[in-house]
Amino acid sequence: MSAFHELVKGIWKENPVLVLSLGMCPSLATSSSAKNGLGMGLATTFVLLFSNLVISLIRNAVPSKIRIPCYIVVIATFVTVVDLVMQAYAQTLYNALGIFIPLIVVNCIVLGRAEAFASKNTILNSAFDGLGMGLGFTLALTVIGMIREFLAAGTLFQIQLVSGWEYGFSVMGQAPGGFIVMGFVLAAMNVYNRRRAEKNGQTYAVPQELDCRHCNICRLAESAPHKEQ
Amino acid sequence: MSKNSSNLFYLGVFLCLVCAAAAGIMGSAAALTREPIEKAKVKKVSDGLREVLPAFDNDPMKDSRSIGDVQWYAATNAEKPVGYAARISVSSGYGGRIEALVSFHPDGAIRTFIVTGHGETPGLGSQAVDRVRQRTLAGLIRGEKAPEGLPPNRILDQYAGHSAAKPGDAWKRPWKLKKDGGDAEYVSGATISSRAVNELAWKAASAFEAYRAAQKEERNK
Repeated sequence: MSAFHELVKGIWKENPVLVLSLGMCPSLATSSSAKNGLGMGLATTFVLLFSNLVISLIRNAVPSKIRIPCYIVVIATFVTVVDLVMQAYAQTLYNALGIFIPLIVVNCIVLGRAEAFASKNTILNSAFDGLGMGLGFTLALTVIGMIREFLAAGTLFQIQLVSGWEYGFSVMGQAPGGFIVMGFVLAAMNVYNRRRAEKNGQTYAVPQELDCRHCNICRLAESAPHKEQ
Repeated sequence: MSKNSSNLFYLGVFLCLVCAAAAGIMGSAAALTREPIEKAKVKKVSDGLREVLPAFDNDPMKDSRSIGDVQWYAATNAEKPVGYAARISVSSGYGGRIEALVSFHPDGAIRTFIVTGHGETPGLGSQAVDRVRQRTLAGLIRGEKAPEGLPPNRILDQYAGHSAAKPGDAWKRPWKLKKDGGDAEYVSGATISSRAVNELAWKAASAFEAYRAAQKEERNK
């Protein structure tokens, strides 16, 4: 598979939020407006790209018994660096996203890609995988954020599209609205995939490698990929 | 000694090395960004002062004193005082601490009021604290420029002109929300945020006299 494939799959076919359903907590929390979604997505993309790169680089040296602590240390280091750099050079963005940045450490997508992809693939492919997954995350968060912001306030990126929305649908800007919009977007994604499969005369089912099994995080102890004999 | 090792000593040393490398990277990042972060913090306050105070030609960041937990800044133009600003915070917001800059006319009436940090619910409590420049699509297409000055906010703006000590002020003291028997408007559905904003305004306004007294005392020395 080419590096280009690794880049593109994260954006649509294996979108981390909409298909893999990973990292739901930060996705719901930060998609309250288009700007927040975009900012959180880009910060996560940066961390994903570099954590995948470094983990792929050290994948043959790290003893498999302590690989998870090592990955977490690498990820946490990058998150701290992003936090400091943002605080120093992008104060406005930091004011909006400051409380979410530390959440990237525990964002399941980052550790999920480290364990499921970067620990088994070449540096180049891992970097493209991280970039693609990050862009897919950004896209999903921005789209959900745009829908929620529009419904809650009649604005997009803080530009008023519909006037007289003062008594807007403010629940959409809060957690329940996040769940509702996420549900509709997931449903739309499935309907689209099913229609497309029907057109080709097939029935759509979630590909086996993309269901819950792809992530492995629940079964870390029993299914170590490099188990000793 | 390699990937499949289960030698505890080797595993421990390896993890230590990884952590040491990470600590090195984080330490140098912290050292490199310390100065810009300090500058950004100072700049945030001085930008805020420029927004809430009338034109001044001194450096209010230097003409500053703290009384209790309120940090005061004095602005002068051609040696004459033109206004004062208080950096203040309360912890009674719906999402914890709310920080604000409240500026005063020299006679102790509130001039304007901005919230510099808060954790209120977006779209609900944030209506009481955020000054958002509202742009419209039609305006953007026509190429309208943003008007000068602070964007309006009906909750924050209602405190302008009120004073905690001046006789004849229409508001009952201490200031309260209308639903608590006072005179201040509030955002329905965001009473806690509105109460916190009211508390901020009252705390700053009622601290003004003490600040002026301390300032006079210093001048008389």
